[in-house]
Amino acid sequence: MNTIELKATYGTAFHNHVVGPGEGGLRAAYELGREAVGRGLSLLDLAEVHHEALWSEICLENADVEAVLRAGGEFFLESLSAYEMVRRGFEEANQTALLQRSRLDMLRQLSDFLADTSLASDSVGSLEEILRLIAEQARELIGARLCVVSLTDDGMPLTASSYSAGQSDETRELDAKKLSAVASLPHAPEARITAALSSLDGKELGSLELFDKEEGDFTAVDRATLAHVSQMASAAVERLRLHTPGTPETDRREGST
Amino acid sequence: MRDEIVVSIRSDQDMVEARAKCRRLADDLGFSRTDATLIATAISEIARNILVHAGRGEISMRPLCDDGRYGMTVVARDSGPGIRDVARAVKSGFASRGGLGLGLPGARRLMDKFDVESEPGEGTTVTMTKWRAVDDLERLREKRRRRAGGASS
Repeated sequence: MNTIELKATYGTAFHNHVVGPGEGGLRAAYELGREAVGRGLSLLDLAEVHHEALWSEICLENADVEAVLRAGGEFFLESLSAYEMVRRGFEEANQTALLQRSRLDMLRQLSDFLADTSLASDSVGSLEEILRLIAEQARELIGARLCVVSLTDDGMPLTASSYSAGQSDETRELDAKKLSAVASLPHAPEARITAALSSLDGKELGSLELFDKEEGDFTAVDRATLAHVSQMASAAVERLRLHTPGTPETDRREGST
Repeated sequence: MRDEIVVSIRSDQDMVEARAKCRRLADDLGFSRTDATLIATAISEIARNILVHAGRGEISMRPLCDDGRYGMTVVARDSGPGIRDVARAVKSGFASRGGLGLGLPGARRLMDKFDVESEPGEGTTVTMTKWRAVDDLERLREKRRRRAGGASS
């Protein structure tokens, strides 16, 4: 069906609906809209076709203009319903594409995180450096204002943080006093998410906490991302401790060999 | 409140009857004309599927009332060949190969809740629900009702 054919069919169907309004006519309008969508006709084409059909009916001798306009409104609404289905489908496809893009960004950042962690593990004071990296990456990846990462197991207790100050790009570490003050503020459940850091044998090493999402509340995707980061962070911490002299892990390992 | 309405679907004319009855029920429940059109469109898509794939079936509609909210549930059943991959049939459409998002995915997008149960050779049941938007007057009444409830307790 092209625009000319649609004009003729639409005009006849609309005339029938004006003469005998009812569900049969509305169903015909829906079918015409559906056909127009299927044939790739634009919404503008349909609007033009409708306008011409409406005008033809109004110009008829003895036309009841009020009845024609009423019939025209419901007929046009019905013919647009197929376009509404397509519009919603387009919106859904768009949202899916956005989600995929954000997943891709996340993977890229996780990959950077791995590379940075690997470099940091070779530097002096590397455990502190790795914790700071973890805090920074987790906060940026999920878009939170504050991230606190703490090691609380039988190794040396350590805490690092990353804090974004309002709208500026400045990020910094908070000193222990400020950190304790911010973290102990009452936070609504949706404004704070936590994941445990665990060793391969399931022992708890510490925790990773995010506070105050920059836009909106934390989502299920944020929780899943944090869980993923915490697994990678746990592996990085454990690997480093296994290779750092003087840590309980190294002592245990050396004692067993 | 009205009881369940059942329409047998065996021909195009039955589809028209199902649309007409859905529109009357939507009107009784206070749905806007736009929402009534969306429900009628979803019913048409499902009825078309019944006619094309199963040949016959039935569509039932009933009003819903939950905590002051009004809505409509539509259930379409057939004993046709069923759907092999329900998730794909419901999700495919605009983003899939050449699809325009009509049919099952289109109906799903027009309704608030949409569920398909189907097994190959066992037929298909589609259950879909649309809730009516609450208007300002209803919000005000609800606020008063809650306030009165709070004052009496």
